[in-house]
Amino acid sequence: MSDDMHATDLLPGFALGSLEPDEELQARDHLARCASCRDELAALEEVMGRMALALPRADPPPGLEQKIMDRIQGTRRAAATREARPRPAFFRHPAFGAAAAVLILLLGAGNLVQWFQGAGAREPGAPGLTTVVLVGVNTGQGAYGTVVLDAQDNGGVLAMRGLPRLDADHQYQLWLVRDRERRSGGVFSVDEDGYGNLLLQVPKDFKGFTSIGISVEPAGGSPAPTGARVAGGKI
Amino acid sequence: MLPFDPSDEELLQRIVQKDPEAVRALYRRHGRLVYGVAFAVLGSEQEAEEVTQDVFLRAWEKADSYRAEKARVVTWLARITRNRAIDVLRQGKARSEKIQDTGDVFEQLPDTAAVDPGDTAALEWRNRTIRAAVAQLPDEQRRALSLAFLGGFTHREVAEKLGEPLGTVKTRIREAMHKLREMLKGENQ
Repeated sequence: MSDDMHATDLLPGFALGSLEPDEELQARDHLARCASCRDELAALEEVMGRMALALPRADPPPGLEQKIMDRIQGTRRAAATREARPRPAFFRHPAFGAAAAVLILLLGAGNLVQWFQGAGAREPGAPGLTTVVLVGVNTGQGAYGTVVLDAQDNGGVLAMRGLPRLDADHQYQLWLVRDRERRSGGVFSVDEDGYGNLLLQVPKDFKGFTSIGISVEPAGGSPAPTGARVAGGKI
Repeated sequence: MLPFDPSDEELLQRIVQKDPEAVRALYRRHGRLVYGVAFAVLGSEQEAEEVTQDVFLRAWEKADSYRAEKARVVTWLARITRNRAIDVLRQGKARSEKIQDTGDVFEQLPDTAAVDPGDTAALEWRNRTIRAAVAQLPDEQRRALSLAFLGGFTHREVAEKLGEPLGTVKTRIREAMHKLREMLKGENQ
């Protein structure tokens, strides 16, 4: 059975959001290459929508309409403030040298033309460095980022963009995935612009890990994933 | 909907152009649907209220991601509400151990209060179709689908809850979704 046939079988679970992280990445990778499967996914999402549409209606609490309008007004004010303020400069500290290079890449600079030189920082693509592209899923849809793993120093950096900001009780947590094992790489938060970064805790045997995932967890992190997956990528 | 009321698609276009009153109009038209879906998944008025806010805020921020050729606006809203509610459910400290069977949930008649009786009849007909389709699913398929659709459980978690092999659960959910898809395809021809 071909890999593509396996990927097609994943579409119902993908529409439901009930796949494991590695399956979700496999499906997303296939969808990026297959127009007929994108059409099939749209049909399955229609099924999802119809099922949700058939659920009972309920009266919202009074005042909800105004709360929604107040939040919208808040976002309009925030957008106006952002436009009037220069984008904050990330990774000024030399320790974030590799992450800064990744961020420049994310900003569409194409070829790297400059990066902050820090102690131990080397150019992504150099021997011993592994780059992993992360793609947002579920509430993180639209987000993207990169992890650069350093086999030589057992370290790594994450630069992430587009994740929604969480409340004070929650943070994002990065996981290194190997079969059923989920090893935490650390927790991070994003700012109001949706940017987040992390210096990873990378085990010496990280080369045995096959993918990276990010989930929403209680602030400070969890021993194992408990929350929704928001991004992932294959190593 | 009265003759000169903007359509849902027109409201979304106005939202793309950052008209906040279009959001208010969309909420007044579909707020009960969105809140109802959120409440059906979460069972909590507070969380359903938060999800409802999130959905309309998302409509404000992502209206340009809506594709009319893929789904009606109301279906799009219902689906993103379910997905957002599932995300909140997964973040919660305690998830309900008892998930209603989707077939049982669909036994409740939908609300018939609407501005345009014609729209209500069409919507109710479509709802009866999906409810009938779900009712026709074999019990084991409907049960597995309910846990995934309303409970937000992964295939692995559904298998653990049902005490069934993972492969069996994956097959049941896949076949249930494909059956529903085929039944609805016939409706559109």
